[in-house]
Parts: sequence; structure tokens; C-alpha cells
Amino acid sequence: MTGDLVYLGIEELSRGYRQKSFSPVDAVEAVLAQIERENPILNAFLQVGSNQAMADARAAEKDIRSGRWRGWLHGIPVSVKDLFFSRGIPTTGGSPFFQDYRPAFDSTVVARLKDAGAVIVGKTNLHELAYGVTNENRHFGACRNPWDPERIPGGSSGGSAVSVAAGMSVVSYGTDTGGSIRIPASYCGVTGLKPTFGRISRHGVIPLSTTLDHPGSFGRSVRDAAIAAEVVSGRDPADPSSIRAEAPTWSASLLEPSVKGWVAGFLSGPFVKDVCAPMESAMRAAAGTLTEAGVHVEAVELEDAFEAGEVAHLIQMADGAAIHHQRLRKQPEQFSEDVRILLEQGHLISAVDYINAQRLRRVFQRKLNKLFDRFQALLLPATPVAAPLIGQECIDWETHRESVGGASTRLVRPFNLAGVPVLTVPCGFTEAGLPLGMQIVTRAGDELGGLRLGEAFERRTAWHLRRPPLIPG
Amino acid sequence: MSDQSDPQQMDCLLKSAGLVLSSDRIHQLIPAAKRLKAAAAWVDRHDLEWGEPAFVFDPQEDPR
Repeated sequence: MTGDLVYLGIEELSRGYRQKSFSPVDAVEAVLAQIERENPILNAFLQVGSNQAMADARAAEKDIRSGRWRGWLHGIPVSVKDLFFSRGIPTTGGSPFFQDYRPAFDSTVVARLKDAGAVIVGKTNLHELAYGVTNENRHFGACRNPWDPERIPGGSSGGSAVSVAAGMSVVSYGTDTGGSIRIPASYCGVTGLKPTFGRISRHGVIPLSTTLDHPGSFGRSVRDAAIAAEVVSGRDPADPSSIRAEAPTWSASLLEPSVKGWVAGFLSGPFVKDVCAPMESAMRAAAGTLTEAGVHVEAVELEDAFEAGEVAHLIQMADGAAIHHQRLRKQPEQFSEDVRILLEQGHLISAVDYINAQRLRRVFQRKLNKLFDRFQALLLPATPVAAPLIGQECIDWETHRESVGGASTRLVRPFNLAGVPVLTVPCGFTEAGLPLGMQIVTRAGDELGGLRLGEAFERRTAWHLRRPPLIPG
Repeated sequence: MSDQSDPQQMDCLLKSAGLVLSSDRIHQLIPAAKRLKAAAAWVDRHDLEWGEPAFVFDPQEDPR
């Protein structure tokens, strides 16, 4: 029985709790057993809080059985990227600089999870300081892809995606500065939501870029990712960039998933030219599926998309260098070589270039908004390839080579620059059994549009129901 | 725009930020510096309006 619980979704678990078919204690025990079995190989968790999780599960069980149900996340096992402050519990950021750091307060995300009665089972592995896409963390060990442990899970929120894919948590929380939710969602075959910039508070999150960081969620379905994100959304005066909007109720609105008559733009042209054949055919099939659902899918080019990604990269490098400047000056040897070199490069950017890059963001947003006057959503691959091997440096295209980092971030970065919401959903598999993900991009503030389209797609496909070949329970 | 991929200028910029790097290490930074230079050149080509502010959203507004 307990083995079956690890792949249930939020609503199935929650209903089971209230109908007394099983309890939060059963679910958390099952998830902790799964972590014990799988984590030695996958290294998705940097800390597992078994004792606290079991105490929280018992409290949730008591509350729910007494009729004090707090909402969908009550008693649900969740994990959190080890970048979010958790009071009294180490928050390492995947870096030796913070390995003994125990914050005095909870990040807003963690505080809201606790208020919702969620059971935090542990803190997940990440690329050092969230600055990279491979999750080959040299200080805490590489996190591995559950579909093939010789491959990267993507990053920087790789541990979060792996924890969800492998049944080690129901949902998880990560951050996305240059694709760090969407890349691991694509490589691990789970759903990832990067909401609008400012939708989820960054208070108590170790920053990488103060103007590009977007906290968001992972789930094994669109609905789970939506519930996970909405519970922690809403105005937070502690975060100066928090948008003044009430907490959304996306999951309730998903009960009417009709997208008949919608118009979606299918990105084409040079920006998406270099993608592997399985991704190309998965995207074509996805367009066909949405057409069957009544969506009019039309090819469109996104002007300046590649350049927008490069500008986002420039901003990220300068922001990251500013944030870690003192640490780099005083203890450069404490950084891994890949992170250190990025921080040094960030010091080469002039103030004029940085400020004009920031000013250009709104110009790009306006271009994107013009497309959103015609289309409810834009569709494109999340990554040009499936998960690369651990240690792999390049992707070979017909005419050139591209670094794994460059390829992984190429299709995602422009949307950090624009701050618009993007949902990533599983859209196919390679012949070798590796997952592929599709991005659904919508106008700022319109997460619901992407979620509705994502759910309509999910209802007609079974990609999200595939499970990685793990050690049997 | 300064030439951020010239090793001497790179050295000056890094030193002004308090970072002293060996010349080997500075040379390792050149490919990325060229990429940044290309991005900055693209930014430069835009005739930005005087009133164009340097931020994504006004946090006072609901982006919808």
C-alpha cells in the first residue's frame, strides 16, 4: 500500500486523508522510505528532515481527522530547493560559504508552506549558488537523472525536479533565473511553472539575480504544479518586487479546461532551428494534439529572441557578480571553477551596458506583448535536446558545436528577461526513454492561460504518467 | 562602449573591482567577454527612449 502512495497527486492524497483511506503519516512514511531507497543513487536531497516530517505528518493527521483541514497542501509531502531559508535548518545554497548557515527566519515560501500544513521532507540539491544548469555540484556531489543516472537532471533546481519525478516528494519548489525550473522539468519529465516575475516572494531566498530570479513549482501534473504555486503566491511586503495581486485561485479555474477557439503561436525560425529530431517531432505532435482540442495553432517567429537571451545572460552575470563580489574578492577558492569564472566575467560588464540592458527589457516585453495580442500562448521546446550525460561539454549540431550550458538555456532565457509566466509540460520521449518538455508562454499575469492549455494537453496525452525505472520498493 | 575583451582593459576593470587575476586566467575569460561584448553591442544599437526606465514591472501594478 505505502509504495503506491508515492506517486499519488495532491487531490488524490488529500481526498484519501479526509475519507480516512490512508493518512498523512502513511504518505510521509512512504515518501521517506522512497528517499531512503533512491537518494543514495540520485542525490536529490542535501538534507532530509525525517523526524520533523513525521511530527508534522502526525499533527496534520490529527487536525484533518478533527475536521480542521487547512487546504490542498495539508499533510502533503513537499521538498524545497536548498536556496530557500528554513529557520534553524541549514540552508547551504549548494555552496561551502553557507554550509553551516542556519537562518533565523523562514523564507516567505517556507512560512506559507508551514501555514498551509504542508510537510517539508527535505531540502534539495542544486547547482552551486543556483549558478549553472548541470547540477554537478562539486561540494555536495552530482544530482542524477532518475531516467538514466549517468545523465544530468538539469539545473539549477535539479534536486527538486528529481525528487518529484522519483516519488520522493509530491511537489517541490525551485527558482528560475535563466531556466532553472524549466530545464530540469524538461530533462526529468515533470511539470514546472515559472510564474510572472514578482508573483512568488523572493524574501529569504539566496539570490543570483535580483531582477531575474523567479521562484516557482514542480509537480507530476499541471494541477499539482498550479496548486503548489498558488499556495505560496500573493503579495509580500517583505519583497520589494512582489506584485500587488491577491493569491490566485488557478486550480479552481482549471475545472473548466476548454480551450476551444484559442489561438497559439508555434515558434519557428532560426531561434528554434537547432533542436534534436525527437524534440522536433514531439513538438509537431503536441501542436496536433492541441489542434484536436480545438486550438488554432499557427507558426510565428519571435523577433530578437536569441539576442534577448544574450541580454538576459549579461544581466544575470552582472547581478551575480554584484551579489557575490565580496566573497569572490576574499575567498575565490571556495567557488567551483565553473561558478568562479562566471562571477569574474560578470565584473567585466560596464555600468552603461548593464543599465541599457535593463532598459531594453521593456522593449522586448512590448514585442512579446504584440504577439500576445494575436495569440493566447506561445509554444516552443524547453530544451533543444534530452538530458545530456554527466561530464558532457558540448552538443554537436550539423554546422557547429554548442556548450551544454548554452544549449540548455538558449530557449528559456528570453522569458526571464520578459518576466512572463511559462509552464513546462512533458511532451514526449526519445527512443532511449529520455523525457522531453514543451514550454507554454503567456502574457505577464496570465499563468492561468498557460495552465489551462497545459491541462488540456495533459488530458489528451499520457507523457506525464510515465515513471522512471527506479529500484523497486 | 569599452572593449571588454581586450586583456589589458579586462585587467584594469578587474583590478578596479579589487580582483587580481593572472594573465592566464584573464585569457580564459576572453571568449565569454566577446560574447558579452556582442550582447552589449546589440543593446547599443537600440535607440532607447529617454523615458525608458530600467526595470521589468512596476511592482505597484498588477501586471494584468
